[in-house]
Amino acid sequence: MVIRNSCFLIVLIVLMGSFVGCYQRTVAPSLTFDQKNAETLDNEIKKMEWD
Amino acid sequence: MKRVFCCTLLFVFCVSMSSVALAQDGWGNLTGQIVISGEVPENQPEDVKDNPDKAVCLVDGKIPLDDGVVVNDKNQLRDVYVMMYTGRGADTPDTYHPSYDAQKEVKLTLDNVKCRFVPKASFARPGQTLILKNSDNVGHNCRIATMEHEHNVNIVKNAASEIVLGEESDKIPGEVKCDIHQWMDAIILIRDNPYVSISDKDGKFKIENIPAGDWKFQFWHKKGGYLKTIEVKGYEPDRRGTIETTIKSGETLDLGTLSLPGEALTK
Amino acid sequence: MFRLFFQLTIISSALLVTAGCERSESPVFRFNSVEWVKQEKTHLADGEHFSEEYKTEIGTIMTALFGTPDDPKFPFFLGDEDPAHDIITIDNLRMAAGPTRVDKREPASGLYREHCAHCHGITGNGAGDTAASLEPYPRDFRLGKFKFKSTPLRSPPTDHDLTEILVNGIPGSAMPSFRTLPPEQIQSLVEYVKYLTMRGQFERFLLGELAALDGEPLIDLSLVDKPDGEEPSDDDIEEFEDQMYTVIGEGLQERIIDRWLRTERKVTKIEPAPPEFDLKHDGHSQFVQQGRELFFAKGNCMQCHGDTGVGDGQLNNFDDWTNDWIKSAEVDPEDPATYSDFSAVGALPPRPVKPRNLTRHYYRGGDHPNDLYLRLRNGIEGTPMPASTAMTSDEIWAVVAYVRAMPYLDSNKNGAAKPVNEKQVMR
Repeated sequence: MVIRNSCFLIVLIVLMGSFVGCYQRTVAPSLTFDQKNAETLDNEIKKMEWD
Repeated sequence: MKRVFCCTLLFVFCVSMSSVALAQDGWGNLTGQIVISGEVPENQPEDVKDNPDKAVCLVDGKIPLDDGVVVNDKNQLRDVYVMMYTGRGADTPDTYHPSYDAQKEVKLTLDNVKCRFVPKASFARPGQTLILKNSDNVGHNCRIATMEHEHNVNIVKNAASEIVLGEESDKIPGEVKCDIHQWMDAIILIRDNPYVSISDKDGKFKIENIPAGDWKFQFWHKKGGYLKTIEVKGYEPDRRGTIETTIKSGETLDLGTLSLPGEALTK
Repeated sequence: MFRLFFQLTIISSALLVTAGCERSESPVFRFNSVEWVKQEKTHLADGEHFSEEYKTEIGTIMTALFGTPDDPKFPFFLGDEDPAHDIITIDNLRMAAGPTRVDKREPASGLYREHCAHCHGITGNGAGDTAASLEPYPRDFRLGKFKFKSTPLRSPPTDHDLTEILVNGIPGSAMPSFRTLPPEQIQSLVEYVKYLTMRGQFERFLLGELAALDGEPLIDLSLVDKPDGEEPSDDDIEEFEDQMYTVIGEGLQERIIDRWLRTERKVTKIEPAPPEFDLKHDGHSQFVQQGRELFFAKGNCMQCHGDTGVGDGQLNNFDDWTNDWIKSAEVDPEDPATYSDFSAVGALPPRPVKPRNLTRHYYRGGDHPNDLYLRLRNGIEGTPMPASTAMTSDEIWAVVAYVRAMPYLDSNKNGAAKPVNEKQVMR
């Protein structure tokens, strides 16, 4: 009985642990961008004369 | 006879003086009148709910209507901002007419009367002093939030607080709110370019002493945002509600009657 | 029987470890979709949407200027001469950014992910893994608003203000103290918070521009980067530079970075307290009494904090982080159906802001009298707490004295805080 209960507890703890630890709020989408354009823009920013 | 002569002289003098005041060399004016065409959107009663200050906020014992769209009996629209466009890629004058110098020194009053901001729409210049007044017998706060400015000032009953605005300029008007009476709202534009007029109770606006040249002017209303559907004879407003005008030295450009479809104010 | 459970345990844990805990590669910044949805609802007719291409364009501009969570950048437009080097250093950003490293022999890195990201999120959007279960919600930096600081509203906090928050934590919230970290690590986190804030502010600015563009790009790279290698005309270059000055020069440098550069000059001067403020002074109890009168009359404090100061006054206000999206789209905060579009992209359910219970002698922004003075003098940014512009500095000190005495005054012992939002009304 003791062993059965402890097994049950372990299952519960693992379940909760995985829920808390691995839950991620991924509802907001990732920032998408165009790598090539980002580099071009970066170069243009460096070329510009800011005053 | 002498009297008639004197009167004529006075008349001529007045006319010449007024024409001097109206349009000086190198400067011109812009005027017009805004009227709603079609159906005027109805204002809903203010969301007073069971606020404990209800007694002070009622007008003639009744919950007042929102003042989002204010027209007179001829449907002429109040609180439209007509302003020189200073946004993306716009030309703006380097100097303003000296008559605007004094404007900054004037203390502008924003009052709270029966849980309503008076005036509804105002224009201030950076650095100007604002007197936040409370004529009610309950406490208010006055929270000004524009793109560039933010103030949240406690104003005790029957008292006033003064604030000095910062140096930044806004592009469009921002909001004035009271957190205690959340239905209260007003609008304020804070910017350095003084070529702004807010249409009066007859829908009339007038901007004086604009440097002669080609300038863009923008029409904006709290309920409608940029008024891109406003009809101006001889002009084609773009999507930001601006028209390109030519201000001529010593002349007043009268845009006549500008009509705005009522649907523009339903957003 | 035992065998069965043993097997079950092993199998289920193995399954969960493999299925539940799969990690994505490198974390990425998240797009500010709440602002996107808000702009659509404000400016477009029902059912209309902005072109999805704008999302990529904004992402591209953001990445070109600010880099990625593993490789942060900062736009120093004037090169080595740029004054922004005074407020942000790349070395400090690198120490805070990137994956957490535990190797003691190497210099520290990944501090933000180690200490902050689980609540504030990789993006600083206040939507980390634990955010939804915290009260109050972790701060979303992207609005550029900070509550506890020595500067007036709209002036960003100073480094000192942010350091104080990191060192002391925020009592009464989930924000802990990071006192045990060495000063250089605190400084690196302070700068990373500023970096995430400016980044978020600029993203919001770009999203705010969408309505005015009507299908045109924010910055049209095709003007200077012709597909067939053709040289751009002078007109193209002029138009391109005009866009760069408006979007980046005005939008980022003037509206955002310059404000952070100026903020040290905006610090509010704290007038010294009058002698009566001292507990041992003969006039102290009278001074407290004066503060009590101001609390009810000129200060109008009881309006929100309640007559007994337990925070049971007006309870139907929201803070600016919530108002930002609920006000502009006519959301009814009590009806989740009215904000399902926002929930779908990560907005947390709106919760009213609670006026502080002043009888418990813990103060979120610090318990030094100067901290309380600043809260009264400047108000608290992002909340309904207004600035006491009309009060003299001595009057403010009197209210501070009263507030500090409140937990010990018998008159305040009776009032118990009402259940939050009982009927959503005050008093």
